[in-house]
Amino acid sequence: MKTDNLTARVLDSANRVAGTNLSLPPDGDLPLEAFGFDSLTFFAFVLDLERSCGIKFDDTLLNHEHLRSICSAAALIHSLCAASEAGNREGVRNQLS
Amino acid sequence: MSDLILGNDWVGQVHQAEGERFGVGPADRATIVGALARHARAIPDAAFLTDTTNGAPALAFAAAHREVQCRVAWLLQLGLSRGDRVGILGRNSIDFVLAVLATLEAGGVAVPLSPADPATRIASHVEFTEARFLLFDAETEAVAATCRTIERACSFNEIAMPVTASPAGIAPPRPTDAALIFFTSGTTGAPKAVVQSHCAVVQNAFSLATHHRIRTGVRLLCVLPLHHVNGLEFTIFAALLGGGHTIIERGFEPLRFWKTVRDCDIHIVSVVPNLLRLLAQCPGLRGGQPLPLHYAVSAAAPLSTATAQQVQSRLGLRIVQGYGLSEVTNFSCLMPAEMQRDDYERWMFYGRRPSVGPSLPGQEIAIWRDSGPAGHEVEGEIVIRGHCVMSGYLHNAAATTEAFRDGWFHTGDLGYSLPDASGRGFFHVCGRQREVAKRSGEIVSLLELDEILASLSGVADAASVAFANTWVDEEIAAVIVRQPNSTVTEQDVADHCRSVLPFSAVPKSIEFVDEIPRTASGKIRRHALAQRFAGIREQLFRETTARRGASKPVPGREKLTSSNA
Repeated sequence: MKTDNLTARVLDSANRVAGTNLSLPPDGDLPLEAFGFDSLTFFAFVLDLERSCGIKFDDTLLNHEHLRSICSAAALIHSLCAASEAGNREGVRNQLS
Repeated sequence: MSDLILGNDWVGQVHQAEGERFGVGPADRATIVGALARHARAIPDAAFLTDTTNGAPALAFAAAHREVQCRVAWLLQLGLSRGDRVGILGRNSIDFVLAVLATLEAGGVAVPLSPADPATRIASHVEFTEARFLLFDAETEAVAATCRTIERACSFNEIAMPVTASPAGIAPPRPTDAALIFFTSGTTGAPKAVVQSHCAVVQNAFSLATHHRIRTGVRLLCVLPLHHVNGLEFTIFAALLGGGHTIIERGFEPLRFWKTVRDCDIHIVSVVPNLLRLLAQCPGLRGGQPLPLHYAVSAAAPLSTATAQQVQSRLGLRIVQGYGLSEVTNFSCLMPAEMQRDDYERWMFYGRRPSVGPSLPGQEIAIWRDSGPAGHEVEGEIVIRGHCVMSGYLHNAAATTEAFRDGWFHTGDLGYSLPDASGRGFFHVCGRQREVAKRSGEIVSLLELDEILASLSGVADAASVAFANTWVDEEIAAVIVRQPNSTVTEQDVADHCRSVLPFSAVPKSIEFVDEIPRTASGKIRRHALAQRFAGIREQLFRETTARRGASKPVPGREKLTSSNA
């Protein structure tokens, strides 16, 4: 999945869960603080990201640096998707060998 | 538990309550603060409290005892006399705990207050309890200033300053003296103030410390509010009595939970069912490494079999479910902490609902049916008697009399018991007679909310409703009948409720109808009304930051899934 698409999905998810209508500044980023999440709604945001992006977070998410802003969240999801795809390729190779 | 911890205060004492004997209980001199003094001498450097928000090292027992004595001196200098009530207002912190302990040590009665309540409600609680003093944290200073009936309000920082007065010469409290007053929805009607004696408080802590084998080096995580019985009397007092170490969090942070469990090497955590369900929804956050956590204690609302199974299968975590109320000083029943797998699964997964276990020592529990105790497998009202039962409701003799009948405290909850191989009863909670909602473990009185709704100008009739909710177990709604020509709006109702109630008790959905459905005897058909709100079961409501008083629905899980498919 392209990072631009992911960024749009993350922004869409944050707006939906927070009930806001924020947009990214041109060539910029948006801190998640702007959405006014409390701990429960932030968790709801995480669950929504899992479903909308088709990924499963692991304990790397516990480092909050990864979920500081829209772009950092998109980058984290991108890396999880890449790791997942690499794992799948490795699995196919193992089956063929 | 070692003799070191129990000392001589616990040997062979028997408590008399309502003419009945309930086995070993606390002696005359046993108090929670007495345990702190003993630990300060015997295990001075053992860790007692850690606050995760300030990064400071753990407060050891000896240091905690010194800090308490400092605050005692302050309270005595202020003129605190035996039996004076002291309101304690603040978020979870070590300072909150020290303020409570100092109040008890100085002979006062601690009244924990919720910072989530509106200022008017806090002030009314302070006035109702006739509190002379109010201790508060930095974040509640403005609210404290509105409590005009008190003699003096002091910040937690202020009472931590050294004073010249000496606390020497304070006579220890008697076991039947009041120690704590908690506000609760009560078994009927509007909120009530539950008076707990030193005897009840220390017996509850003793039972819990024994049950969970809390001793030096055992670490508990406190994520529930300290102004509730579970947070204060289990995670703090039971740990204190056993010589354990409590790590205090401001609240439950789903994303930080597992990290805190690992970093602080937590063995026991006390939570409510909806928090367990949330954790089970995102099992990846747990990580693959083995956890130090022995189990999670769940209480305050019934746990479903599905949640218990998900927590086991997705998180690899056992649940020790319990049952209790403020009126019985926290826990009355608890599942055994250590069970064979087959026994655990039998009691948690294969019955109608997970068991809350047998009664704790010092308490007797029965199922009341047709004016008397019933046998196993018969459904009826849960009744309790013994050391931990409250002294009564403050300033409410009628409610106290109503709650105590035939020597038993009537909980208003429905349940049944099933025998184990030895014939011991394992209790199961299956409903309630009380007209309350349980939102994220917090009890909300629907009768109080009915009265508040009906008091709004332009409202002819009103009913509050508890409806099932994915995020907080039960959420609150309201159904309103307008007076003729009334223009009262949804926002008017929300604002009115928010002015006197915490966000948790404010209706999140409000509907206007022509008539409130009632039974022939005039009781509101709340169950029927709840069906109106089945469509918003999956919604998460949060308090809007823009305008305190309104709530905003967060899209539900199913809705989110379909919109992003």
